[in-house]
Amino acid sequence: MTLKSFLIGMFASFGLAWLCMIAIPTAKMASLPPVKMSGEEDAEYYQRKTTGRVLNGAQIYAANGCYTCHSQLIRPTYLGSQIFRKDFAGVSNADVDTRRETHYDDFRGEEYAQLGLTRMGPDLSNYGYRAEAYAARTGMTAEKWTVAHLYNPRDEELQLGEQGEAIDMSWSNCPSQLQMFEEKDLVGQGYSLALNVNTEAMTQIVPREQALILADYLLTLKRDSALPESMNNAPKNSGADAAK
Amino acid sequence: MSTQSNAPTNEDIELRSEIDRSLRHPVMFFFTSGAAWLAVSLVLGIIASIKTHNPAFLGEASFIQYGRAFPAHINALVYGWGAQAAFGVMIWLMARLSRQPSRNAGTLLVAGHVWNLAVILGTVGILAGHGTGKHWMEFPTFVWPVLLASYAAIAIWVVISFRVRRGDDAAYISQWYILAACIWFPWIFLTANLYVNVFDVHPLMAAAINGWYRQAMVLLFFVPVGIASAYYITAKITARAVYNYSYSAGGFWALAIIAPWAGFHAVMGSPVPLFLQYTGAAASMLAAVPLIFAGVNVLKTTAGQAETLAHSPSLRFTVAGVFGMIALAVLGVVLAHPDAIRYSQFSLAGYGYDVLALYGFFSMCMFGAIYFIVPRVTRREWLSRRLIRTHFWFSVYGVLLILIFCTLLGSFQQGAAQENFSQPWKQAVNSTYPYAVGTTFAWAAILWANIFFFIHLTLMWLRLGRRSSHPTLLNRDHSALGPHGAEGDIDELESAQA
Repeated sequence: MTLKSFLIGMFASFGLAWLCMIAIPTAKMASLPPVKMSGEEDAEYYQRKTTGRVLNGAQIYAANGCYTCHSQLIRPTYLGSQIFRKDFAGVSNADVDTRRETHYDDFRGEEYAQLGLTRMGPDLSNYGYRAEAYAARTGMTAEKWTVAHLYNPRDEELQLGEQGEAIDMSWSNCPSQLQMFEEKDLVGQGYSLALNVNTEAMTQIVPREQALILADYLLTLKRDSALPESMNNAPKNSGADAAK
Repeated sequence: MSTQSNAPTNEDIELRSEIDRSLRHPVMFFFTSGAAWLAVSLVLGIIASIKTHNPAFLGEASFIQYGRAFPAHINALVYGWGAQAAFGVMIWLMARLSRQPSRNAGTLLVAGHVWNLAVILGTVGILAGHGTGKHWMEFPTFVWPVLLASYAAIAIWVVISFRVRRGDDAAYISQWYILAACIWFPWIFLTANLYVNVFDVHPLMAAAINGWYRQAMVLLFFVPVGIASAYYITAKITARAVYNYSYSAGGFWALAIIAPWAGFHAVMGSPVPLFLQYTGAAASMLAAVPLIFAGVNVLKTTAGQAETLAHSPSLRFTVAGVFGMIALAVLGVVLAHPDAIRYSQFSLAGYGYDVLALYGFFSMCMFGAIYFIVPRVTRREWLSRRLIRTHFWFSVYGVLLILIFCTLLGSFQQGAAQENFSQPWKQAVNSTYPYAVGTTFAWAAILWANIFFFIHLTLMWLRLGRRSSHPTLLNRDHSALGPHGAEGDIDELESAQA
């Protein structure tokens, strides 16, 4: 084997795979054609709509390593049954069933799809709905519940709202994001999102901007929007079709 | 490689010691700073592992919370220890096999310092909350061009020393593997960083390319360097030719053809084109073929040499590393199979695979090479066989524990609990607990092993090793009847000869 034939072999073997697996698929995925919602001529084009601070929220999510324990991927049923798990894949009740697997447009507005490394924590694809459900049970707003959960994911007392019930979260192994909070003097009626308000020492724990941005991002995670007919894998008699 | 009939001539011996002298400082720099990074990475790994079962450990300080300590641990392991150990072995092995002393020790040292500086900035960046969130690429984005530039300044001399090699045109299989690693690394690294960090690509493709990058770093950088070292060490120490040269060449080209397709199964189930996911899974499974080819070839070379294996620390570590490589091949088949991915994709299995690749296989091969190279470049023998034995056994037990807790029992139990959707999520979290505790124990064993390794290596670096003409073997007292003749101070013996 001479150096020349060695180099030719190296470039051919690697270059072919590189073209087929990296360069061409990436170029194709960069210019996906728009898809109509249905086969009808005047049907509108599918477009995913998101609100909130998606981009910088996702950066805070990444920098603090949330992806090391939380996934954002609902796999098809042939690769797992998380779609059936309560709160994972969308809303499912007597009236409506929006559960679906992750779609390629679900990460619109983000630089990098945080599919996640492990599921030491639950999947967050539809965290927005879960937070609303917890908030309703504990009598808080979803934003306050999320901020309180970032401050201390394991404290049951924090979940206890004025008229709500306590939720057992002591089993969680999620780290606290203490760096996103600061202690401030209590002024007037206090801040609506403040935690651990101490009226004797006149102090309160206040979320910094990072916590608010991250909570805002997490609450936008509702990846169950209706898909174009051609991409909808839900069974024909499921709630999603019945609701149409 | 050398055969039993080839007794070295005086000229050979002089050339070898000239090569060793020319590379003493860069090689020792890469090994000692690599070992220091290994220690840093292990401490971070233990902290991260404890936090998975006891999140309030160390008072929830933000800079070592799990989400930062874990990426810092992996990146320090890959770029701090893995890459630097590889550089040290690559430059020394290539110089020895090409029979060319290095004339660029200064450049190598400068590039090595720049590399270390970049890894320090990157690791501190992750801990300070500036990680990018792309696994194995978590260093803040300004770091990767620096790493690439200093890599180029190191690897170019490896390629050049191959180009100016002395002797016949035939090259050794170890040289092909090292040369290939030199070419693959920048291609993989540049592709991944350009596509993921620079170009405006679809977010899912960025994640998919990240998965490919991790697998390619293992199969196309750590594997070839590990195999090159294993071939060299076994042939040298057993004083035999490699068992079968067609196996070597076949294994090499099988790796070159299969491995670049592997890795996309990391994003299986996500909405990227299906052929990427399944080709990636198939290639990751097929990659077992070149690994087993090389593994069998190395083990066959050592066949019937049980005594040498028991006595030589280099050979013992290398053979353990080759068994690690065969385990890695089998595990790759199991974990990349689409039926297993249902359970293993989001469990501890991926971490277990990385640890087996980086420690159970690659690091063990590197330790084997380091135990061989360091006495030659420092002209001092290892101080204590007990330190070496501790290093070996605690490493082996640690890796076995991680293999059992992370990748076999832990991952499938955890995956099955995640799949059981009628039970609350709490159950899936609780089912991980015993395996997380087990992983902590495994890391503690590996840290224990490497504290001694680091101390031992530092003493050697300070040239406080034994000034003896006898190598440090594991099971035998120094004997005047051995092949090395009467024992004495190596410098005095040589000046007496001269």
